[in-house]
Formats: sequence, structure tokens, C-alpha cells
Amino acid sequence: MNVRLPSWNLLLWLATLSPSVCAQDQVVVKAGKVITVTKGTLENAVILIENGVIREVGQDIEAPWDATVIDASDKVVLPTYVVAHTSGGMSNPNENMANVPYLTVEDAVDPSSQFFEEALRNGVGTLHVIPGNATLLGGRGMIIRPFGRTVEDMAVRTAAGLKVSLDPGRGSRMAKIRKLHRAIAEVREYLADRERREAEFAKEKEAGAVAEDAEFEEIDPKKKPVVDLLAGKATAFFYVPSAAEIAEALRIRDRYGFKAVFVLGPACSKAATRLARLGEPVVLMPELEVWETDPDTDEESMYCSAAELAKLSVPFALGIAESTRGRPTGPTRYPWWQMATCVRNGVDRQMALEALTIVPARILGLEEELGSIEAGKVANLQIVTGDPLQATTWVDTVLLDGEVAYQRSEDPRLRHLFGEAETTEDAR
Amino acid sequence: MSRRRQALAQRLTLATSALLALAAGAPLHAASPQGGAAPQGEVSTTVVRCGALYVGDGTVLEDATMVVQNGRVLAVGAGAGAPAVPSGARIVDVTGKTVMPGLVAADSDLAAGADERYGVTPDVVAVDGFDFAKRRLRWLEGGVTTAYLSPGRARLVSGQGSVVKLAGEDMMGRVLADSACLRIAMGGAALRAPAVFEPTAAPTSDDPLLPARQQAPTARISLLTELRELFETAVRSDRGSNGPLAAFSGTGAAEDRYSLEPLQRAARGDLRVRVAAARAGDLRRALRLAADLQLAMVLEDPWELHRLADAVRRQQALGAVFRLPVRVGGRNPGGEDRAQDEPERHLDAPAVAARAGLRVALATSRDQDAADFLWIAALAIRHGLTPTQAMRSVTADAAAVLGVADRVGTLTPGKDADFAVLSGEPFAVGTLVEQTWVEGTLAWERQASSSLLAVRCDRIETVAGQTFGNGVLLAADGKIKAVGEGLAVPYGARVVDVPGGVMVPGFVNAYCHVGLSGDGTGIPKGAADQRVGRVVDPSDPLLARAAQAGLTTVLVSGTDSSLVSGRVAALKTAAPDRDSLVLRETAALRFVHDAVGADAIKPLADAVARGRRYLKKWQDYEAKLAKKAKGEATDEDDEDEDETSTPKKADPITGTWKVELVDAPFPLQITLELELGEDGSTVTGTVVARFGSREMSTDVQDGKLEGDTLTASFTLMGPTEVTATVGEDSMSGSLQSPQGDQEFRATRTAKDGAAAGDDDEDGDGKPKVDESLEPLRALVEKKIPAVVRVDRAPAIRSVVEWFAEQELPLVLTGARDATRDPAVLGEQPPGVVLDPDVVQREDGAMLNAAANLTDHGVALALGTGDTAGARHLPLHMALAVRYGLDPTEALEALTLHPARLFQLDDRIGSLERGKDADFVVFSGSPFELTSRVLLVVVGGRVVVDQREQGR
Repeated sequence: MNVRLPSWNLLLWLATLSPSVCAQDQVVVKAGKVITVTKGTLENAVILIENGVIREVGQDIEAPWDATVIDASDKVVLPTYVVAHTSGGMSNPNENMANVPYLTVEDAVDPSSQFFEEALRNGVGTLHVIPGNATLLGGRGMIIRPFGRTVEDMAVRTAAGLKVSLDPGRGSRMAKIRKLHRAIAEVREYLADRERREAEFAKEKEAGAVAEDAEFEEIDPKKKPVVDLLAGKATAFFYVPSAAEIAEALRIRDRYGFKAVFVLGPACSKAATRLARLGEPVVLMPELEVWETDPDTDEESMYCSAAELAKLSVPFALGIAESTRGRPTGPTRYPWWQMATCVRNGVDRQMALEALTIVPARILGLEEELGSIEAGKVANLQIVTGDPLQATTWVDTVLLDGEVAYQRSEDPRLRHLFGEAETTEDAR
Repeated sequence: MSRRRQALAQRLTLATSALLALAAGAPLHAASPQGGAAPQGEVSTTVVRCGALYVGDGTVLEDATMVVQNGRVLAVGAGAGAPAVPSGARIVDVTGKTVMPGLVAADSDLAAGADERYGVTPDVVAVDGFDFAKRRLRWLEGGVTTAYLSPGRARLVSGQGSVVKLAGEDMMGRVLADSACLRIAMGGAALRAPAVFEPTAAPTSDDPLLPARQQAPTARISLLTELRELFETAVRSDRGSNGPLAAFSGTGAAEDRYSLEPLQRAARGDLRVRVAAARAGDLRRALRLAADLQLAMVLEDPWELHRLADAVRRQQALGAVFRLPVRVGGRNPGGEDRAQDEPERHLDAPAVAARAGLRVALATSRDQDAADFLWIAALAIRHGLTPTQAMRSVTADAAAVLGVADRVGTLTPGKDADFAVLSGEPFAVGTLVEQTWVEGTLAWERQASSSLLAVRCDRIETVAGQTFGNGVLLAADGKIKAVGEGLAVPYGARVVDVPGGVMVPGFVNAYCHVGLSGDGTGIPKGAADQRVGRVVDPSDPLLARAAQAGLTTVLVSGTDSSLVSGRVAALKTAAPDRDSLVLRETAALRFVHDAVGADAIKPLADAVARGRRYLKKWQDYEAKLAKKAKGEATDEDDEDEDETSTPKKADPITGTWKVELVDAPFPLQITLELELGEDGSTVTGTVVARFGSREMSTDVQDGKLEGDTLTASFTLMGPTEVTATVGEDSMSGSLQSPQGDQEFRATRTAKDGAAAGDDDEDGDGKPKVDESLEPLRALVEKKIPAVVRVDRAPAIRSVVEWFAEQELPLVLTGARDATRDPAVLGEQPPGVVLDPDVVQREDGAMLNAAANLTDHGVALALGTGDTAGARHLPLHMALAVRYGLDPTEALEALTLHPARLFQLDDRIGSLERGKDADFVVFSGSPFELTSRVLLVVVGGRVVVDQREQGR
């Protein structure tokens, strides 16, 4: 897996062409308040960015004379959000065939999708786009920034997680689990067979029956993702729709020894104690609050999956809802709503904030680059007008790799909706 | 002690006595390390003292003691053989109660989902479909602690059945056997597998797209052949070791093929085979298969066993499981839907099986409520099983048939401490399970009810002008007994502590449709004769959801439709029964009024006038009754009565007239309700015209009766003049309108006009109850308010003025223009029920409708006008607060104001002594988004308790 930072390349390329852009190598953000996520909150602080990377954060930093200064002294700066699992931004979330591990979302992501536009408008800087849950082995995801004209522009990492789903769909749960065992068994059979044939091939080569420079066949590309998974070279994003499947999902993971990030439906929180013993961060589906009628007592009760997990200190990443086939979704598509829902249900503010920043960064293996405002991390920042958990707070500016990727005052859609006057007023 | 139990007790075998004596003398070290209730290293001991103890194998101990250590039975004994009580043990004293092993359900569909497409799926494991997180309260209520999970029933080889515990923290620890048996269907169910379509992702000529494939067997004739072939393939591949590929069979995509391994184990005799064979023929085939392949077999539902009892006796099967096909307390449909395949289910079959030497295990049928599980054993006794066999059939023998007898089924040392505490003899009709224990832990207990409730929290906002810190509210019989600061809590009260909680009266949603969408036909339109309180569905889960959000009362009506739009019922969001759910059947009458202009108010005024006339009928009737009662007591009023009633006897006009139009161009039905005035010439009344389902009505104007000539006019589809000659109960004349003249004849169908002098002395003059006029009558009696949906400023003004003039209670709703300029409401503004768009943006400016109105002194309420969304009521109000509404006003708008506006403030709206105990406790200020609902009490019952879910 190679790191792709196209914006750096772009900057360097621009720098060689035009001296006037050189000044943009250094950017200084003067912030009224910086929520670093990992290192507390700083008042009246300065963030110095060099070549798209945060160089320094602190209160007594002198801005270099030639640096571009972004004045946010009446605003709040925090890292852009990281969404660890979404199927948004594609025309269809997944293939209808169940066993298609060889597919990749690279072939489906639509850079002009409104989903990405809205994500950026709401301060999301990184998304792991992965096939949806209505499959068995659904294909591979990629990590992207919601900014750019082509998929290549947007790509942060290709070949990210592999979707494994226990969603029973219209069938029964036990049949689904059986199918997963069988699909994996098939790849293992193939590997065993290939090993045998490889040994034969080596023997034949020794005997001179095949040419000296002949290579043994490559691994079947249709099976490669599962082979990688079984070899520990890929991570499964393992969708578990309800608490009923948790025990089984753990058993499957341990039986085949693959790396898995659990993506949990809202009712999974009933198995929170089990998840607590796991000690790994999990991903929550966007729907956080779930109503349930006890079939025995007819009691109605509401669970907030995030709150149940928080009680047992299970770290979790929050998701945001995507609109499917143009159908609008509710407020769960807003990061602030998701975090406020957690807090409303008793989750600590810090934990709610981490659930869209450092925890998903860790889940995606990007905690060295993303998820907090610290020296050495990629300068993915959002400048907001107030408390990020409030509905009245707007995202004013988003910097991705130290570059301005979004400005509310320049937002064409808001201009179209509200007219010039209001956007500039709000932006102020 | 009953004779039966005595008999059982006498059968206590010598061996068991010796074992128990041993257990009493030196504690057996029997409990194995895994599966215990306590963490490793710690020893937790529980001693159960009880009356009769059924060991499960047929023996019964009287006044027994059982010692449980780490979830396992350590020792059991009675009398001299009672085990010593270890020091530090927890004592569970259920003296006088009966203890028996946790019941073992030998069959269930608890794991079953949709049937597999494929007919042969031996590698399906039932436990994969079982939801461990789900509570199994009904089963525990029935004393059932262990259940067999069927992998499915309608396929030839459905998969492997599993056995699980029905309670316990550790999910995987609850699995007693994941592969307990291989399930094979020998009967018609196996013939119904669908044809399978196996598409290929990218078809080529080598790998083409094939049509759907029919699966064998499709008739009983090929059943055995098919099964034999399956087993032969499995055995062949077991013997020859052709690498891993050989262990799989089947067709289709990789994930659809199956493993032969379970079939191999079955063929080796390592896995028992459970064969469903209801009919005698199926049973015969099952026995042949078992004999040929040397299978260890359990029969499932062998209802026609009596026809093959001898064969069964010769060839020992391991046991038989019966799901008794009786649904106690429910309908028991016959085999109407699958008549050909259903055999007669002889309830004697279990007894026949027992006589044939089979172990018998019982279970409930699919739809039977497991809470009465013991009944099936009692029923089997009625049909020939001995009490001991019946007891064993749900405990020891069931465990043996399932292959888990080493863990459960009897209460002997070393077994899991799964037991049920019963109120009496196990098979007696009045006996209930009181407690169910799983592995030494109490898993379920029957709840006793308590009457006095005390809730303590940080702060109580009474909305009656008081705020109490350290507040205590006492409730009894659904009413508030006391509210105050630091009140002493009486003995015996159920105390609910909500530290940090803020208590407010339950919220009132002043307009929604909760409870009306139940039948899936959508929200009905409102109508004046629609008795909303009777049509609401009390089991609508949306009521409970509203309660979860802190709503305790909802004002429910159909959607607004026409001028007189419909009744409003006041409902609680939770109640033990329908009667207490309905707070007031008719709490208001809704109107839609949006006419503007000189006479715009007239239709509304006409409707109210109809209500007045209807009221007058009743008042007259009541006055007459009162007079009559008085008259019977004293004779002096007789003259008065004559005076008023005499002239009316000759009244030729008053009554209901059915009008027939002569050669009418279209079928218009016209009814006249006329009334002759005191002066003998003025005629007032109503014209009602029906055309198909449409109905229009208007008042009669300038009505005059001179001699036998009636003249009048009315405006209905244009001004109309009436001229008619009145005869004896009939009249004829013409209607003159701009469209032309129309001849008509009319006959009097009733003389029951408001002032009708009735000939009948016995008081048959009682007016007819007219459901469409009842709410109007309540309105003119000022018992309920009119809720008028009106938006435009002139309309608002005219409505407010008219109602003030009439001195009738009025509530506006919508009131769009008033939210912008409250001055249109006048000096004494009526209450307003706002729609949920409390804060609007208009031309870029923010408009806080709620704050605007309260600033003008308007009593505000809020109605969401929806079903599922009704619960978001407090959020809408929070939005208004966010943009400037005074939180105190906001709280009143959700509690006291709607209560007053709908004249319900004698029952709800504030926390005061004597009012209903309806309240909510929040974790903080009720309008903070981060606050959560911790406790909701409706009518003194705790309906929501989420104290554990917050932090």
C-alpha cells in the first residue's frame, strides 16, 4: 500500500512553476481556540503549517513574515473528521452478487457526488469508502479525501478494507454464516491445491520439464483479496448487524485468524460486555438510537449503541448516513448531530469527538497522520464558528493538506440557496 | 402432601439414598471448573431450602436442602440426609415451595429463520441462528432453562441441531452442544425444496448460465434413495482420502456447496440423527434407513407410532420427541392449509412411545406460549403417561434424548444448578413458576406488585409556581399524594431514586395522530361523529415511544378535513387498560376555517347554531323530565305543563320533513328540520342536502307560516325561495332559484323538533343521540373548546371576535399570521396550538413564532401533527428555546397550557396533589439537547426507566 498525497505533488509542481505560490509553503492559522483532540484545548493559539504538514502548535509561535495567515481568532479550529466506514458517493452501495471480494470501490466512486460535497461542507476530511453490507464478501474499499476532480485526486489509500458481511438479508442467519465458512473454505482449498501444484511445478522445473525462466502461475486475482485476508495482509471490515451475530463473528475471526474491524449495527450494543473484552475499537453504523419491543413483555426500550459501549469504555468510531439512490436521509448525516446524539445519551464529550477523529484514524491505521492537531500530522483542519456539537455552528473553512479545500463564503451551493448576503454574513 | 407425590417419594431408590447420604457426609467434589457462575478462584455457595424437591429422575425429596457451588449442584438431601450448610453460604429460603430441575425443551424454533434454498445443507449449525442477546423471559417464566434449537424443518437434510441454555452472561458458555444431531425430514416437508437458480457472475460457454434446477426428492418414492446416496458419498469420501476437495459436495457457487463431514460423523455413529417422521410410512422408512446404516436415531413427532410400535420395540431408537399440538389459550387450526400431509396427531402417542420402550421428550408446538410449558407434561399424563414419565419427559429424559444429560436434566451432584421454584405441585393447575435459576444465578422472578411509589430527584419543577430542590414525589393509585422538598417516604413504598434528575410534569402533545395508524390504512380524516377515543389502537407502539420521550398525554384526532373537522381525544401514552388510556374521549372539536370576507364566519356560526338547537332539544327534554319528577311529587305544577305543551300539539310545521323533488334533474335528497316559533308564525330550521356522499346544510331564513302557506328562503348553491302549502304532515310547493323553479312534495317523518309537543306521556320525547352533533353540544355547553385551524389575519380576527361575542372557549391552531403579528389576536388573545415549525426563516429573517406569541401573553401549546414524529415534541420546543423562547414559558407550553386550553387541568398539567401522577425525570434541564429521559411515570406506573443507561 503506498501513501498518496496528490496535493503535495500538486503543491511542489506549482512551486516549481510559479514563484508566487512559494509563499504558500507556509501557512499560519491564528485560532481563538484549538481543539487538538489528543492534547487538550488551547486558547488563542497558532498553528504553523509547512508543506501541508503541521509544524508547530502553541500559544507563543511567531508567524514567519512570508507565511499566508488565516485569521480565525474568533473561531474554533479542530481536525477534520475521519469517517471509518461509509458506502456513500457511489451510485450503488454494493453488487447484488454475494461473493465478489475482487471488486473495488475505485471503480465506483463518483467524485462529483453530492455526498462528498456535503461531507466536506460539514468538516469531513477523510472517508473510508467501502462496499455496502448486502453482500457476503463484498469487495475492497479505499480511503479518500472529499476533494478533487478525479478518483486519483481524491485517493489517500487504495486497497483498504475488505468488506465481510453477516447481514442475513432475506435468508436465515445460520445459512449466511454457513455460506461465509464455505466461501473461505473454497479459497483455502484453492490455496492447498495451488501449493500442491507449485511443488509439482518445482519438481518439473528441476527435472527440466519446463523452461528455466518459467514462473509459476500468479494467485487468481478473483481470490487474491481473500488470500490476503487469510494471510493477515488485509483487514476485514466485518459487518455485524445485531448482537445475535457477535459471538459468531468473533468465532469466525479467531478460527481463520484474520484481522477484522467490527462494523456494528445499532442493536449490537446488547453484546457490549462481550465487545469490552475484545478491547479493540469498533465502527458504529450511522443509526445510533434503536427502539426495541420486547416480544415477551411488549416493553418498548431505546438503546443508544454509542452510550452502551462508552459505559464499558469500548472505543468506537461514528459513521454518517449516506443518501441511497437520491433518497434523503435524516440528520444522522451530520457529524455534529451524531456527536450530540452520543452526548445526549450520556457519552463524554471528549469521547464523542474522538469517535470522529482519532479513533477512526487509528482504525484505518492513519493515527500517525490524521485525527488530531499535533506537530508532524497532516494539516487537515476545519475552522468552525463555535462549539462543534451545536447545530448553530458552521464550518467556515476546511484545510486539507494545508490547502484551503472549502470556504463557506465561496460555497456555490449555499450561494445558490441563500443568496450572496447570507453566506457572507454567516461566514463572518 | 398429595398421594401421588407420596407414592413417588416412596420410590426413592436405595442407590439414590446412598448417593445422597454420601453427599451429606462428605461434600462431593463434582463441579467441573468450566461454566461456573463465580470467577475462577472464588467460591460462591448457595444453599436452597425448599419443600418438595423433584430430582428429575423420578425421585422426590420432602423438606429438602440443596447446596450449589459455582453454579453446580454440590449436594442434595432431606431429613437426616440433608447436607450441612457451609459457612458463608447464601441462603435461599423457599421453604414450602417445590423445586424441580430447569425444564429442558426437547424442541424449539428459537434459532430458525427462513428455510435454506437447498434441500441438503448438513453443515448448517442451528446455534448460528440463535440470538444470545435476546432475553427469553417467557421461557424462563415457564421454568425452561435449556432448549434444543431446530436448524429448520422443511428440507431433506436441514443441518445440525444445537442445545443451549436460555439465560446466562457468557454467550458461548451457554452452548451445551452446538452439534447435537443431524436433522433429516422423512415426510412431505422434505419434498418442498424450491428449484434453485445458480447464476454465474460472468457466464462463458464453459461456465454457462443454466436454468433453475429442480431438487430431488420431489416424491416420497425417491426419499430413501436420495438419502442413501448422500450417506454413501459421505462414507466413500471418508474412507478414501482424496484431499480436502473430496469432503464437499453439492452444486452452485462455492459458498453454496456443503461439507460432508456431518454425514460422515452420523454414518460412523458419532452424531445422532434426528428424523422427522410423522406418518407411519415415513416412520417405516426411517427405521429402515437407521437399520441399514446403523444410525443412532431420535424420532421427531412420530404421531403414528401406534401403527409400528412393535417394529420400534424391536429396533431400539434412542428416543422420541413430541411437540404437543395443543395451543393452550389460543386457536388451534386444523390441517386446513396442508391437509394431505398432516397425519392425525394422537395425543396418546407419547404414552405409546413410552410403552414401546422409547425415551419420551416433550416440547411445545411452535406457537404455544412457553410460559405454560409444564402444562404439556400435565396434558401427557391425561393421555396416558405416568407422572414420573411426564416429569422425566421435560427433564432427565429430554436431556438424555438431546445428549446433554451430563450437564442438565436432574438435580444430582455435579450437574448444573438449573432449577425452577414452583408455588406447588408441578402438574397442578394452580401452580406457577415463581423463580427460575440458571447455574446458581437467579434468571427470572415473578414480580409482585406494589402500590405506593416514591420518586426522589434533585429538583422538581411543579409548573404550579413551585420548584423543590431535593424533591420527593409520592404517588398512590395513580394520583399524586404529595410533592415537596425532602419528604419522608412511608414504609413499604417503592422508592425510585434519580440522583441528579430534574422532574417536570409529563409533556402534552396538543395535536397528533398516534394510535390512529395501527391498521395500516393511513390516518383517517377527522369527522365530528368519529369517536376517536374508541378507534385508537392502545397497542400502537408509537404511544410507548412517545412515552419514552417524556410525553404522557397526547391529543389525538384525525387529519383536518372540512369546516367541522373532527373530535380530539386526550390519551395517556401508557395505561394498564383501554379505559384508563383514554383521559377524555372528546376533549375538543377541530374546525378548519380559512374563509375571508363579509359573511365568512357564517358556516362556522351555522354549525354552532346546529349545536345550540341540539342542546336545546336535550335541555327541553331534561326540563320536562325534571318537571315530571316534580309533578309526581307535588301536583301543583300540572297547570304549567299544560300551558306550555297545549299549543304545540296542533303545530303543523315542527319536525323533520323529507323532501321529494318532482322530476328532479339529479338525485338530490333534501331534508328540512323545521321548528315553529312561540308566536305561531315564525319558522326556523335547517336545510340539509345530500348528493351522493356529499352533504351540505344551511339555515332557513325568513321562515313564515301564514294559514297553511309556508314561505322561507335559504342559500344553498345560490339563493332559493320556498313557497309551499302545508297540509296534515305533508306539504307541496316550489323552490325558486336563479337556475329555475322546482316543484317539490314533502312529508313529515318525525315530529321530534326541539319544541315538539309529544303525545306520548311516558317520555318518548327523548331526543335521538346524534353523534355528529354531540361535540357541538359539548362546545356550546363550554365543556370543550373549539380548536380552529386558521391562518390568515382577517380570518383570525373574525374568528376571535365571533367566539368572544358568543362567549365560547376557543383555541387557535396554525395561526400563521398571528405568529408574525400577534396583535391580530386582539386584547384578550385565545390560546394557540402551534405547528412544529416554531422557528421559521422568512426572507432571511429569523422568526420565532413561539416567542412572539408568548411575548404577547398568549397561552401556547404545541402539536406535532404526526404519528412517529409525535415524540419529537420536546425537541421542537428546544429549538424555540435555542432561538430565544423563555424556558419557563416553553415548559408551560408543554404542560400546563395545553392542559388548561383543553380543560384537562383538573387531571394533568402540573405536579400538584390530587392530579394524575404523570411526570418525567430528565438528567438535566429538559430543553438541553444533552439531557436524557431517565424516568417516565404515567398514572403512577413507571413506564420508562432508563436510569441505568445514562451515566
